[in-house]
Amino acid sequence: VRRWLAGILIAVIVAGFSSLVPARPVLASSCYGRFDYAFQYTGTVATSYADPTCATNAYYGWIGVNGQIQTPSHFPSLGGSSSNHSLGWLGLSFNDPPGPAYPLGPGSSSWVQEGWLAGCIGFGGRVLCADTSSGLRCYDEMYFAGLNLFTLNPCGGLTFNSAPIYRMEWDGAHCWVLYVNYNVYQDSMCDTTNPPAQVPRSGTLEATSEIDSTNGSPVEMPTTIYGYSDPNTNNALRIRGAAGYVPWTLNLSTGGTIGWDERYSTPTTYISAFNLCYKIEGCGQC
Amino acid sequence: MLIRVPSEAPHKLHLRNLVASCMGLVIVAACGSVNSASVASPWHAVDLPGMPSGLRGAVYDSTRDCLWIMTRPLMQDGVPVITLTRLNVTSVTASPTSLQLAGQGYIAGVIGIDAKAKVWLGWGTTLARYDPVTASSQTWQVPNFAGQTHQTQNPGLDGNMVALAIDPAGEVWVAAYGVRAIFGFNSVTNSWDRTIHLSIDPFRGTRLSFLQTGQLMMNGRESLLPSRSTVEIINAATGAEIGLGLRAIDYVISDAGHAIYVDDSGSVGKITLANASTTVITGPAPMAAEPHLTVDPTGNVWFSMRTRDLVGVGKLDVLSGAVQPYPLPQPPAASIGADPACPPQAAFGCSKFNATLDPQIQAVIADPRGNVWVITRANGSGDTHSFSGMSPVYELTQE
Repeated sequence: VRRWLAGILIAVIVAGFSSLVPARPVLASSCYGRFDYAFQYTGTVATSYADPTCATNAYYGWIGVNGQIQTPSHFPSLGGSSSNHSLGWLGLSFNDPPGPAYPLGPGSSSWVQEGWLAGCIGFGGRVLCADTSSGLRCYDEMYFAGLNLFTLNPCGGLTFNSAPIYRMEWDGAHCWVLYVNYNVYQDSMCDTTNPPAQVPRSGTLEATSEIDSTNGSPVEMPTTIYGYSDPNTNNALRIRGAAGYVPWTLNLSTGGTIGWDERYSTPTTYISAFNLCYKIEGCGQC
Repeated sequence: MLIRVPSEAPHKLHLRNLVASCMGLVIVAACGSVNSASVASPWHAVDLPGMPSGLRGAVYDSTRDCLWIMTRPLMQDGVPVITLTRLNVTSVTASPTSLQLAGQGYIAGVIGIDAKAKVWLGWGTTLARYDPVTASSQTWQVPNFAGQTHQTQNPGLDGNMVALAIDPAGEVWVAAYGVRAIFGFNSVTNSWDRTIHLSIDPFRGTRLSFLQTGQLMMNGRESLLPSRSTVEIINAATGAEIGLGLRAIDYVISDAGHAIYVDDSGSVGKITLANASTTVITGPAPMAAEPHLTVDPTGNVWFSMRTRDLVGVGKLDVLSGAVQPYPLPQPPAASIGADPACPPQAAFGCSKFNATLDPQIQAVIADPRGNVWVITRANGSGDTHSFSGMSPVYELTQE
């Protein structure tokens, strides 16, 4: 029975990840407003979802992630506005109590992420941009809901088709630490003592292609490859649990992996796997 | 060109930067809604023109009455470099030096001044000396840590320099993350000639000081799980350690006979160095994870403050225990219409994001006049692809 269940599970995931599934009639994107995604994340189950079924069942028990992100081959089209953005990032989202509610929505729990940027990201007084004159740029971003504090930092320019390794992990004491090029320290999100505000100790891991159109024009989600074909290298997507880093495969010690995209919506996005789940790609019309 | 903004108009710099940045981005139309009717701030925003965003460390140079600010930006393809900027505190003029070195292994802003007024910088396994007179630099590698690394589970942190202290004889003492030892570099013979093994682990918040008694003082972790910090006095001649416990995450020498410490609950106390006795000054204060403690000429202790929707510094009166907060001015709430990079779990709210910007304070320094300088991670003017409504340096003048 166990083998049968595993077979079903794998079949479901493979079917969900395959970009060869014929597209259904187009529906409007409904899950995330003007943001559109194709991403893989750790879940309590192994499955796949597509918009308008929103991503759910995240498993928040992991304490680190690393892997390379191969940048696109070209600068993506930004729909005529540099306020739009197109991204490929690796990160963790947490399940701590949300920060204050936004004017038009609920508050958010904490997150950390780093990856490549085209267009502009930021809010209010902090904006980081990449255009055709600068080329793609590396960024990291963190939001700590416990203090409602946001940070955004650059981490250099990126050449097309490059494959830097990103790593984010719990330091075992008080901080989430973010690295680029595997071991170049980039940032950290740490506890504060008074009022006591502890950063979350574990989270759900995400490898995400993201586009945001502030003007309603189509924004390109170019092909971005996450991870590497050899699971036993730091280039592959790897996840860290209590026993250290292991390849992000179908067989996790707890929970599974969920793919989410908008293959039935407009704009169309796909998440698909070369090697479940340590080498995947996210893209728009691909 | 340096821009110093008078306190009556604390957001002039922001407006100028904003317009310049927006012109560079050719999205001027999106920049219309800047709130210039802000409350007067005691802060003077100080620009570091042309300086990119980066991790920073800073030290006050009493010989030249200036600050030395080291910055570690990441360049193309994430290549780290170290730069050094001089900021004259009387004229508030900044000038970059020619120093530019490979910055592999930088995890903390390690910088000091020796008795000959030379600037010492440390990062990774590199120790560098910069001579401001000749504008020249020299580097040395820290001895092999083989057999001395206690923690091996943090590649990217382990073995990278986190603290530095210089004694009057010119011995430069350094500590590295997770390495249970301190190493002495003889700046006369230009050789590593001392190693003192310790029982505690240096971490990114470790501070190393040389006391007038000829001893060294350092904070570190005596255990990782659970994380428990401590501070100790080290006999530089024998290597003997006197552990004070106190769960101290930072400390600062306040006068010849005393140190002020903060523990992992944010409580502050005083250590009498002669007998290692301690007195609690106040209960929890709103400290950042790295408090960057500093003492002004009147004995007040300043610290990096980070609490809900508030980033700045606090002034602690060590006699009364009273804490006065000085929040850094936040930039205008609306500028360029970009959204944060946003995980799907938060995507509904990201177009109406309403958080407080944390410029990530990197150092807090009190000069002899009592003015307090706060060094952040923000970029200076001139980068048309990176707009920060906050400044790389803020000055808080004593009224």
